[in-house]
This record gives sequence, C-alpha cells and structure tokens, in this order.
Amino acid sequence: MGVTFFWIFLAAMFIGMPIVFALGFAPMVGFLLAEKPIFLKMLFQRTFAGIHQFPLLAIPFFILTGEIMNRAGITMSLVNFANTLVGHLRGGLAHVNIVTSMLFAGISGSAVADTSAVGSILIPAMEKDGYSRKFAAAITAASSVIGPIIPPSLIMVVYAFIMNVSVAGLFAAGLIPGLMVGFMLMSVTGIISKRRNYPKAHSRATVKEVGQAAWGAVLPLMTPVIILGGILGGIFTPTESAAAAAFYALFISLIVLRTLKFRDLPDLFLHAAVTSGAILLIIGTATAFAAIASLSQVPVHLSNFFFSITSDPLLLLFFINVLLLIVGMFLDAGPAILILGPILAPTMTGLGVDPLHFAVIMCINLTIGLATPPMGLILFVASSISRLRVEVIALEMLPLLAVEILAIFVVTYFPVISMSLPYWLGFVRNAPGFIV
Amino acid sequence: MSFPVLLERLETGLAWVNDRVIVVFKWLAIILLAIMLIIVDIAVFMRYVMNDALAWSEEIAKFVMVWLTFFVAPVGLRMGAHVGIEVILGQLRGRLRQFLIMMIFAGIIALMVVFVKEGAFMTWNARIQRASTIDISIFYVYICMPIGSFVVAMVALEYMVNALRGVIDPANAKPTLTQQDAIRAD
Repeated sequence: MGVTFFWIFLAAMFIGMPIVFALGFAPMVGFLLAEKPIFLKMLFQRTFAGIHQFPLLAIPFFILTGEIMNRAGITMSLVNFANTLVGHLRGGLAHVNIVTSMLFAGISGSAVADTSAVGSILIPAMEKDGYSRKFAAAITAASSVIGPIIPPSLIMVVYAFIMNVSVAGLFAAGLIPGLMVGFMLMSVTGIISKRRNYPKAHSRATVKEVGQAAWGAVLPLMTPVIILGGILGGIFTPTESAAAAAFYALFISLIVLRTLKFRDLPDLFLHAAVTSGAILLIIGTATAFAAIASLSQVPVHLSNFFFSITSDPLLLLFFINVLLLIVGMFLDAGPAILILGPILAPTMTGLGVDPLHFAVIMCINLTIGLATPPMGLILFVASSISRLRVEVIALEMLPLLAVEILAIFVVTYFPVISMSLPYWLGFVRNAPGFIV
Repeated sequence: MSFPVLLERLETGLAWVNDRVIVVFKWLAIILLAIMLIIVDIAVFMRYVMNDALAWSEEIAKFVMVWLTFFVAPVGLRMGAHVGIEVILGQLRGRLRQFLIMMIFAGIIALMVVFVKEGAFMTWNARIQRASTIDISIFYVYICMPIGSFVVAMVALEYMVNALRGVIDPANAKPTLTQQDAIRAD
C-alpha cells in the first residue's frame, strides 16, 4: 500500500469528518482498496494498544483537576493575588489577566480551561475599568496560550507518550519558556496600555496586602507544588501526581473551601470523562495511523522532501516552525502532535537537535495555534464568553500573536532557555548550547 | 408508507433507543472515572504512606481507562466532543451540506463496523486469557470495545438518517453540533 491513505485522510479531514474517525477511516479505505483486509485487524489492535497504557492515566486526572479548580471558583483568589502584584502598572487589569493565566497554568494543563476560567471573571471586570471588550477578549485568549506551556500540560503528556521522551523532562523544559511568553506579553501590553492610556487598577500594594492575597490563594497554589515538586523532584510519576492533585483539588473545594457541592460532582465528572475519552480515543486511532504511516514510509518520504529543500538544521527548523504554524491554524494541538510528531521529530533529532528541545518547540508552536483563526479553540471560547465575533478578537490579537510567534523562534534558536532546567535536573546529559 | 415517512420513523426510533443508552453510558462514565481516581489514589497512599505497593492497581486502572474510553465515545459524539475541521462544512448550506454530513457519518459507521467485528473477534479469543495480577478473564476487559463501537455506530446512524432526510428536504435537518455550538452549549 502506498501513501493513498494519506490523501484519503486529508480529504476526509477537510470535508469535516471528526479527526478521531478520519485517522481510522483513511487506513481502512486504503487497506480495502489495496485488497488487504487482513490489515484491518492490525488497525484495530493498534488502536486498542495505543489506549491501553498506564502513562495515559495522567490525562483524565489532569483534566479533572483543572475542571474541579475551575468550578470551585478558585480563579478569583488567583486574580486577587495577581492584582496585588501587578495591578499598579499602567494597564493593570491586562497585566493581572496575564499573571492569572500564568498562575492558573500551574494548576490546569489545558488552554481552554484557562480561557473560560480567567475570561469569565476578567473580561467583564476589564470592560468596567475602561478597556474595550475586544482588547479584554484578545488579552485573555493570548495569555491562555501559556496554560499548556507551563506544566502541567496535557499536550506534553501526549507528546511524551507518543514520542517516548520523559514527561518530567518535557515539563521542566516548558517552565521557563512559559514564563518568558508571559513576560513578553506583559511588555507588549505595557506599550499598548501606555499608548491607549489604559488605567492602573490601584496604587502599589503594600507588602502586607501582597502577603494577605498570597495567603488567600495558598490552597489552589499548592496544586502546582504537588504536581511540579512531585514530578520534578522524582517523588511521583506524572500519573500519580495527577491523581494526587485531583484528590487534593476535590478535598479543598468540597471540604475546606466548600465552594463545590457533592451534587455538582456527577456533571463535573461527566465533562472530565467526555473530554478525556475524546483525547484517549484520538491517541488510539493516531497510534494506529502512525504505525501504518511508518510502514508506508511516509516519514521517509517527508524527510526526503525536507532534505531536498535544505539540510541546514537552522533553516529546517524555520521551515518546520512555519509548517506547524499553518497546521496549527486548522488542527488542534493534540491531533497535530499525534500525527506530525512521529513524522517530524526523527528527522530533526537525526540532525542533532535534542529530542526534548524539539518536543518543546513543537508543543509551544502548536499551542499558539490554538489561538489562531480560522480554527482555534481558544478563540471560540473567548468569543462565546465575550459575545464578540472570532474575527474581531483575532484582529485585536495581532500584536500579541506576533510576540508569541517571536517567542517560538527565540525558544527554537536559543536552546539555553528551554534546556537549562532539564539539564540542571538531570533529564538531559549534554549541557545546552546558548544558540543552536 | 412512503420513503420519507419511513426515514422519519427510523430516525425517531433510533433517537429513542440512543437517548436511553446514552443516559446509561453517561452514568457509567462518571462511575468509571471515579473508580479510576480512587484506585490510583489508594495506590499512591499505599506506596508512599503505608510503604506497601499494590500489585494490581496499575492493571485495573488501565482496564478501567479502556472501558471509560469506549463507553464515553458515543456520549462524546452526542455532545460534540469529537472535533473536526469545519472550515468547509461551516460555509455550506442546504442540500450539499446535508450530503457531506451524510457521507461523514457513513464513513464513521463503516469504521465502526470494522471495530465491532475485530473487537468481538479479539474479545472472543481472549475468553480463556486471565489478567496477570488479578483473577479475571480478559474477556471482560475487551468486551467494552465491540459494545462501545456498536453504540457509536447507532448514534452515527441516527445522524446519518437525519442528514439523508435533510438531503431530501433541507427543512428536516437538525442543526448538527459544530465545535463552536458545543462550546457554547457548555
């Protein structure tokens, strides 16, 4: 069987077949056309084998943790804490929006959860404070991108699983780039706020006020301590830390804070289960798809194609980033990683790019794709919260997006940013170079 | 009975059955996720606090996850959780749109037929296999796959019949859930 099934896949996907089914449907038709129905057994068995994996248990638990924290209303305490830290800057609430996203990123592993949690509180608040609604929505969407870059991160669990790199190492590699994206967004926000004369939220908070706000947010902020400390310290596996974090989240929201009722649980668990199930099933069919793609030598064809353009790693990294940005405009980060990771990563690691470094480039790039039109989950959520059209938000977001794309290339060409922490923690053997 | 009326009856019947099955599966999903969390948290507690790692927790948690994935698949189809690229579909109106939707669901049904067949085969072959850390038959682990896939096919069939009615008369078509609607409905 040639690569016919790859074209069938693209066709099925573009007419709108859900990706999880397109990934199974295309090889199926390919096998039937090639009159090799015996391979249908393999298609199914690989799908099952792709799901039946212990490390994947981290996914439902991370989703559950984010969902619990979001519904328990812990976002407000994070907003208060962020407000005492950066509220006194020009464009105060816009900065608060970004810092809250950075804090929330340590609790939840998904960008969409971040958008809805932060957006539903801060978009109305910013509008009341004199910001245009479209700017409030744009800054919410742009800063949500930090969610899956700062660990924990669902897409990093997915990448680590399918490409067999260490989840802990990838989490460590994401931390500093995530903070960097946050600070870069704050600088642009600073410039925009000065030009448009956006208000300060209040005068500078005293140390005592900061302390009080920090104390108010201490319970939710223990979650990243459990997750990051547990995983990076080598105490917990990612799955164990995710389960412990979900338990902790349930404990504080049901018993300590009492902001969540027991009767809310079935609906909350259902949503977490449906979201997790959709991701797990797509991991299954994508695993089968990747196996069939490598049997049909799709990766070889593609890397030959890349090498026919150039074999210079610097240029190739540039082209791959552009390719990923385009793919990210249409595809969700998870499926994009599942489909393209096994195809692109071997080529680049063959050229001497560290597997972990390439992993972090790909994760950041595709996460930012979640906020780009025409298909961007974050944009859809921001649009439904703010009741603004997707195009309006996207247009307002342009300077913020430009900075994020700049961040991708900075992380790509300066491995020292992402790789120092993994090196220091012992996840990679070679010290990262300052520049590629 | 004319063909359109027959189709309408078929859709109503399928929807009646599916609605009931989905309710059961929703509760199953909630319970399975809760069980998974309890198992892994007990395992963490035993390993770190009691210093006595459980032998069976990993295998059982994995089994429960496979169950969760396949039982939640049709629920996800109902709730619009399986996303696709709707750039083209979103632009189309009327019969052409309904026709494409019909083809998409026909494709899903075809894939699910393969899944039911292969899943049933694998399940039947596994009836004498025992799990490695607990004494249950692997049959009970695998059985979720043909069942879940079958219900996905049933839900897809309901939507396909609806789209076919839409091809005959666009007024019949239910607006299918798109990604944006699914999020709004949240």
